[in-house]
Amino acid sequence: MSGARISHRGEILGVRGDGSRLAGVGCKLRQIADAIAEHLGLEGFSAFEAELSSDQLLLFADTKDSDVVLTAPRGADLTAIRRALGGE
Amino acid sequence: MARWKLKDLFWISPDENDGDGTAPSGAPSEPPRTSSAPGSDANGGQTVESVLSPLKDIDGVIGSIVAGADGAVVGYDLPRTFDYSAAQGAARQMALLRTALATEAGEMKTSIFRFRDFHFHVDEVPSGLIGILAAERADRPALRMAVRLLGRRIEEALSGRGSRS
Repeated sequence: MSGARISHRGEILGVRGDGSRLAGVGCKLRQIADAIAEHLGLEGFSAFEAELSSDQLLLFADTKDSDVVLTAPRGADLTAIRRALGGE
Repeated sequence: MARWKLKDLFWISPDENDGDGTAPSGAPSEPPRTSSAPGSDANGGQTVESVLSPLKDIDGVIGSIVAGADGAVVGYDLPRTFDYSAAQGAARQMALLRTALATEAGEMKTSIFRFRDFHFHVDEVPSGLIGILAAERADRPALRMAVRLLGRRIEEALSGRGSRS
Protein backbone atom coordinates (compact mmCIF):
# COMPACT_ATOMS: atom_id res chain seq x y z
CA MET A 1 0.00 0.00 0.00
CA SER A 2 1.29 3.45 -0.82
CA GLY A 3 -0.12 6.85 -0.10
CA ALA A 4 0.43 10.55 0.24
CA ARG A 5 -1.02 13.43 2.20
CA ILE A 6 -1.42 16.34 -0.19
CA SER A 7 -2.59 19.90 0.00
CA HIS A 8 -5.40 21.05 -2.27
CA ARG A 9 -2.73 22.78 -4.35
CA GLY A 10 -0.95 19.47 -4.92
CA GLU A 11 1.91 19.94 -2.46
CA ILE A 12 3.09 16.70 -0.88
CA LEU A 13 2.79 16.92 2.90
CA GLY A 14 3.69 13.32 3.70
CA VAL A 15 4.43 10.10 1.85
CA ARG A 16 4.23 6.39 2.47
CA GLY A 17 5.93 4.01 0.05
CA ASP A 18 6.02 5.43 -3.46
CA GLY A 19 2.99 7.58 -2.72
CA SER A 20 4.54 10.70 -4.21
CA ARG A 21 3.40 9.46 -7.63
CA LEU A 22 -0.18 9.86 -6.43
CA ALA A 23 0.03 13.57 -5.67
CA GLY A 24 -0.95 14.67 -9.18
CA VAL A 25 -3.93 12.40 -9.55
CA GLY A 26 -5.02 13.11 -5.98
CA CYS A 27 -5.08 16.83 -6.67
CA LYS A 28 -7.05 16.32 -9.90
CA LEU A 29 -9.55 14.05 -8.19
CA ARG A 30 -10.19 16.65 -5.53
CA GLN A 31 -10.81 19.27 -8.21
CA ILE A 32 -13.23 16.93 -9.99
CA ALA A 33 -15.04 16.18 -6.73
CA ASP A 34 -15.41 19.90 -6.04
CA ALA A 35 -16.70 20.53 -9.57
CA ILE A 36 -19.25 17.70 -9.35
CA ALA A 37 -20.39 19.09 -6.00
CA GLU A 38 -20.88 22.51 -7.56
CA HIS A 39 -22.83 21.18 -10.55
CA LEU A 40 -25.10 18.91 -8.51
CA GLY A 41 -25.48 21.06 -5.41
CA LEU A 42 -23.64 18.68 -3.10
CA GLU A 43 -21.75 19.56 0.05
CA GLY A 44 -19.24 18.01 2.39
CA PHE A 45 -16.96 15.89 0.20
CA SER A 46 -15.58 13.12 2.36
CA ALA A 47 -14.08 10.50 0.09
CA PHE A 48 -13.57 9.10 -3.38
CA GLU A 49 -13.00 5.44 -4.09
CA ALA A 50 -12.24 3.73 -7.39
CA GLU A 51 -11.68 0.19 -8.49
CA LEU A 52 -9.04 0.25 -11.16
CA SER A 53 -7.84 -2.50 -13.44
CA SER A 54 -5.21 -3.62 -10.94
CA ASP A 55 -5.57 -1.45 -7.83
CA GLN A 56 -8.00 0.33 -5.59
CA LEU A 57 -7.53 4.07 -5.25
CA LEU A 58 -8.90 6.05 -2.33
CA LEU A 59 -8.94 9.76 -1.64
CA PHE A 60 -10.11 11.00 1.75
CA ALA A 61 -10.70 14.52 2.94
CA ASP A 62 -8.18 15.05 5.73
CA THR A 63 -8.13 18.59 7.02
CA LYS A 64 -9.89 21.51 5.38
CA ASP A 65 -6.75 22.10 3.32
CA SER A 66 -5.49 18.59 2.71
CA ASP A 67 -6.46 15.12 1.50
CA VAL A 68 -5.00 11.65 1.78
CA VAL A 69 -4.66 9.57 -1.38
CA LEU A 70 -3.64 5.94 -1.35
CA THR A 71 -3.64 2.83 -3.47
CA ALA A 72 -3.97 -0.78 -2.43
CA PRO A 73 -4.12 -4.06 -4.33
CA ARG A 74 -7.53 -4.90 -5.72
CA GLY A 75 -9.42 -7.02 -3.27
CA ALA A 76 -7.56 -5.71 -0.23
CA ASP A 77 -9.91 -5.12 2.70
CA LEU A 78 -9.88 -1.38 3.36
CA THR A 79 -12.74 -1.36 5.84
CA ALA A 80 -10.49 -0.44 8.76
CA ILE A 81 -8.96 2.45 6.83
CA ARG A 82 -12.39 3.72 5.78
CA ARG A 83 -13.58 3.64 9.37
CA ALA A 84 -10.45 5.32 10.70
CA LEU A 85 -10.74 8.12 8.16
CA GLY A 86 -14.47 8.52 8.56
CA GLY A 87 -15.33 7.24 5.10
CA GLU A 88 -17.70 4.58 6.39
CA MET B 1 -54.95 10.12 -17.78
CA ALA B 2 -53.83 11.37 -21.18
CA ARG B 3 -56.27 13.70 -22.90
CA TRP B 4 -56.65 15.97 -25.86
CA LYS B 5 -55.82 19.56 -25.14
CA LEU B 6 -58.27 21.13 -27.53
CA LYS B 7 -56.83 24.60 -27.29
CA ASP B 8 -53.60 23.65 -29.02
CA LEU B 9 -54.64 20.37 -30.62
CA PHE B 10 -51.64 18.70 -29.04
CA TRP B 11 -51.69 15.34 -27.38
CA ILE B 12 -50.75 15.97 -23.76
CA SER B 13 -49.42 13.13 -21.66
CA PRO B 14 -49.60 13.30 -17.84
CA ASP B 15 -45.86 13.91 -17.64
CA GLU B 16 -46.04 16.87 -19.96
CA ASN B 17 -49.00 18.48 -18.23
CA ASP B 18 -47.76 20.46 -15.26
CA GLY B 19 -51.25 21.13 -14.02
CA ASP B 20 -51.76 24.66 -15.23
CA GLY B 21 -52.55 23.73 -18.78
CA THR B 22 -49.21 24.80 -20.16
CA ALA B 23 -46.30 22.67 -21.25
CA PRO B 24 -43.24 22.93 -19.00
CA SER B 25 -40.65 25.32 -20.28
CA GLY B 26 -36.90 24.71 -20.36
CA ALA B 27 -33.78 26.61 -21.30
CA PRO B 28 -33.70 27.26 -25.03
CA SER B 29 -30.62 25.09 -25.48
CA GLU B 30 -31.95 22.29 -23.35
CA PRO B 31 -32.75 19.12 -25.30
CA PRO B 32 -35.95 17.31 -24.38
CA ARG B 33 -35.65 14.80 -21.52
CA THR B 34 -38.12 12.52 -23.25
CA SER B 35 -39.21 12.15 -26.81
CA SER B 36 -42.71 12.95 -28.04
CA ALA B 37 -44.12 9.55 -27.15
CA PRO B 38 -43.23 8.84 -23.52
CA GLY B 39 -40.57 6.14 -23.23
CA SER B 40 -39.97 5.69 -26.92
CA ASP B 41 -38.23 7.51 -29.72
CA ALA B 42 -39.64 8.45 -33.10
CA ASN B 43 -38.96 4.93 -34.38
CA GLY B 44 -40.65 3.25 -31.45
CA GLY B 45 -37.40 2.30 -29.73
CA GLN B 46 -36.59 3.19 -26.13
CA THR B 47 -34.90 6.48 -25.35
CA VAL B 48 -31.85 6.63 -23.09
CA GLU B 49 -33.98 8.59 -20.63
CA SER B 50 -36.60 5.87 -20.46
CA VAL B 51 -33.88 3.24 -19.97
CA LEU B 52 -32.49 5.25 -17.05
CA SER B 53 -35.84 5.82 -15.38
CA PRO B 54 -36.09 2.39 -13.62
CA LEU B 55 -32.91 3.19 -11.69
CA LYS B 56 -35.09 5.37 -9.49
CA ASP B 57 -36.89 2.21 -8.35
CA ILE B 58 -33.77 1.47 -6.29
CA ASP B 59 -34.23 2.99 -2.88
CA GLY B 60 -32.27 6.23 -2.53
CA VAL B 61 -31.58 6.87 -6.22
CA ILE B 62 -32.29 10.45 -7.22
CA GLY B 63 -31.27 10.40 -10.86
CA SER B 64 -28.64 9.53 -13.41
CA ILE B 65 -26.57 10.88 -16.28
CA VAL B 66 -24.94 9.07 -19.19
CA ALA B 67 -21.83 10.70 -20.64
CA GLY B 68 -20.04 9.83 -23.84
CA ALA B 69 -16.29 9.34 -23.87
CA ASP B 70 -15.92 12.99 -24.86
CA GLY B 71 -17.90 14.19 -21.85
CA ALA B 72 -21.03 15.06 -23.82
CA VAL B 73 -24.41 14.28 -22.28
CA VAL B 74 -25.86 11.19 -23.98
CA GLY B 75 -28.96 11.20 -21.81
CA TYR B 76 -30.08 12.03 -18.31
CA ASP B 77 -32.90 11.46 -15.92
CA LEU B 78 -32.74 13.97 -13.09
CA PRO B 79 -35.41 15.80 -11.09
CA ARG B 80 -36.43 19.13 -12.55
CA THR B 81 -34.48 20.95 -9.88
CA PHE B 82 -31.42 20.12 -11.99
CA ASP B 83 -31.18 21.97 -15.26
CA TYR B 84 -29.37 20.75 -18.37
CA SER B 85 -26.20 22.64 -17.46
CA ALA B 86 -25.95 20.55 -14.27
CA ALA B 87 -26.01 17.37 -16.34
CA GLN B 88 -23.52 18.88 -18.80
CA GLY B 89 -21.13 19.88 -16.05
CA ALA B 90 -21.30 16.55 -14.29
CA ALA B 91 -20.86 14.62 -17.55
CA ARG B 92 -17.75 16.65 -18.37
CA GLN B 93 -16.26 15.87 -14.96
CA MET B 94 -17.03 12.16 -15.38
CA ALA B 95 -14.99 12.11 -18.59
CA LEU B 96 -12.16 14.06 -16.91
CA LEU B 97 -12.23 11.52 -14.09
CA ARG B 98 -11.77 8.60 -16.43
CA THR B 99 -8.97 10.37 -18.27
CA ALA B 100 -7.16 11.38 -15.07
CA LEU B 101 -7.29 7.85 -13.68
CA ALA B 102 -6.32 6.20 -16.97
CA THR B 103 -3.37 8.53 -17.35
CA GLU B 104 -2.04 8.46 -13.81
CA ALA B 105 -3.38 5.42 -11.99
CA GLY B 106 -5.13 2.79 -14.13
CA GLU B 107 -8.29 2.06 -16.07
CA MET B 108 -11.36 2.81 -13.97
CA LYS B 109 -13.93 0.07 -13.48
CA THR B 110 -16.18 1.73 -10.94
CA SER B 111 -15.97 4.64 -8.54
CA ILE B 112 -17.89 6.60 -5.98
CA PHE B 113 -17.70 10.15 -4.65
CA ARG B 114 -18.99 10.40 -1.09
CA PHE B 115 -20.52 13.67 0.02
CA ARG B 116 -22.51 14.57 3.10
CA ASP B 117 -25.85 12.73 2.75
CA PHE B 118 -25.33 11.84 -0.92
CA HIS B 119 -23.11 9.75 -3.15
CA PHE B 120 -22.29 10.10 -6.82
CA HIS B 121 -21.47 6.74 -8.41
CA VAL B 122 -19.55 6.69 -11.69
CA ASP B 123 -19.39 3.44 -13.63
CA GLU B 124 -18.33 2.39 -17.08
CA VAL B 125 -21.00 1.36 -19.57
CA PRO B 126 -20.40 0.30 -23.17
CA SER B 127 -21.43 3.71 -24.46
CA GLY B 128 -19.31 5.70 -22.01
CA LEU B 129 -19.95 6.46 -18.38
CA ILE B 130 -22.98 6.54 -16.15
CA GLY B 131 -23.22 8.76 -13.10
CA ILE B 132 -25.85 7.99 -10.49
CA LEU B 133 -26.79 10.49 -7.81
CA ALA B 134 -28.12 8.72 -4.75
CA ALA B 135 -28.71 9.14 -1.07
CA GLU B 136 -26.26 7.45 1.27
CA ARG B 137 -28.66 4.61 1.92
CA ALA B 138 -28.68 3.41 -1.70
CA ASP B 139 -27.34 -0.12 -1.92
CA ARG B 140 -24.16 -0.09 -3.97
CA PRO B 141 -24.22 -3.76 -5.06
CA ALA B 142 -27.80 -3.24 -6.27
CA LEU B 143 -26.70 -0.18 -8.23
CA ARG B 144 -23.84 -2.03 -9.85
CA MET B 145 -26.10 -4.88 -10.84
CA ALA B 146 -28.55 -2.41 -12.35
CA VAL B 147 -25.76 -0.64 -14.22
CA ARG B 148 -24.62 -3.92 -15.75
CA LEU B 149 -28.15 -4.60 -16.96
CA LEU B 150 -28.84 -1.08 -18.14
CA GLY B 151 -25.55 -0.75 -19.97
CA ARG B 152 -26.76 -3.05 -22.72
CA ARG B 153 -30.13 -1.33 -22.92
CA ILE B 154 -28.49 2.07 -23.21
CA GLU B 155 -26.51 0.70 -26.15
CA GLU B 156 -29.70 -0.54 -27.74
CA ALA B 157 -31.41 2.80 -27.20
CA LEU B 158 -28.46 4.59 -28.78
CA SER B 159 -28.50 2.20 -31.73
CA GLY B 160 -32.13 3.12 -32.29
CA ARG B 161 -31.25 6.78 -32.04
CA GLY B 162 -28.46 6.28 -34.58
CA SER B 163 -30.84 4.72 -37.09
CA ARG B 164 -33.24 7.67 -36.83
CA SER B 165 -32.90 9.92 -39.85
